[in-house]
Amino acid sequence: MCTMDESVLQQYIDQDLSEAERWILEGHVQECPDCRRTLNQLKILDWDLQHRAVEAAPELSDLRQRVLNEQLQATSTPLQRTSNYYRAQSALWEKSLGFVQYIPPVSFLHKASKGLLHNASKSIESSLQQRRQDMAQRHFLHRFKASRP
Amino acid sequence: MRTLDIAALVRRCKHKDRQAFDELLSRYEQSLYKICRWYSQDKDEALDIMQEVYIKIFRHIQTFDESRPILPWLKQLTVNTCLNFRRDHKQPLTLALDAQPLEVVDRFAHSSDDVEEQVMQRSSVADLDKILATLPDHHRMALSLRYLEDMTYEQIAQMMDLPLGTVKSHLHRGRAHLRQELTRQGWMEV
Repeated sequence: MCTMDESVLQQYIDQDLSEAERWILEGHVQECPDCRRTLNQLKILDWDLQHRAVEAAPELSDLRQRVLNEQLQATSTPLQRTSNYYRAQSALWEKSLGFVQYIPPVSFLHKASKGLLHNASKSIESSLQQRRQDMAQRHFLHRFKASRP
Repeated sequence: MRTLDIAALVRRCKHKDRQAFDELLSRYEQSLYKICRWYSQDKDEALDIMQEVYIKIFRHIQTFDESRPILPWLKQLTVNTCLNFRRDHKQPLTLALDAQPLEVVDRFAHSSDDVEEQVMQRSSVADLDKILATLPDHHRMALSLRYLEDMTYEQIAQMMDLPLGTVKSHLHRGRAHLRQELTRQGWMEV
């Protein structure tokens, strides 16, 4: 009967031996049927434990809701409940109105609108000026043609 | 989810924001449940432990520093809750008659079309669960962290707040007991 401590074989399974210790143990296992059998059993057990699958639990969702209901009810005063309600509401509004942060500030809009108006008025003035010039030219040509025999 | 988002979520939890709690717990609950389920061979007991985990998270999140990652803290809390559960509820170490054993995925490399082989596999899995249920709590938790979370000896020692030598002892004794019992019941013929 071999007197090798099983914990050494366990350390071998866990890759917790130095290279020299592993080499010595492997040499011993080749010669010792008891240790060889124990080592094989430990390998099978290690495999079983590694592949012990755990299924997900769909009940957790309901359990979570129940616990949160109980805990929030137990820890809040009426004032806190009202406060929590409005805080939760404002958090929701904050999410849905997130686009507001991308709207330029009012001063920028004011400047931009002034600039737009200024440019628009300049453009309108320029086109009016052009029309006056065109009309003046047509009027001049009309008078010139009229004065010729 | 980015680290900054989780920190913001935790801050909202500290203000008792229900939506934040819902988001935080739903994100990590399956991972925490697996620790409870691997540790306890009874699904109902695992759900009872999860209920306590939820309550403890709700009550103790105030003390958590949101600049640190939250998952290790949640796992630590879960491990402690598992270890304290039976002591606090004074339950005997038994497995319910209708308890569902966890599945062992394809124990042998070849196809398991053989019905007899499948029955033998299910029986051996059921026996493994029964024997696991009889292990001392610390042995079982050390095995859970080793095989489910793939932790090193050092990580297990930190999680369970035990010396490294004690962790090795728990793992070795736990496996030795499993091997001896399965051999005695004829499941280890090699």
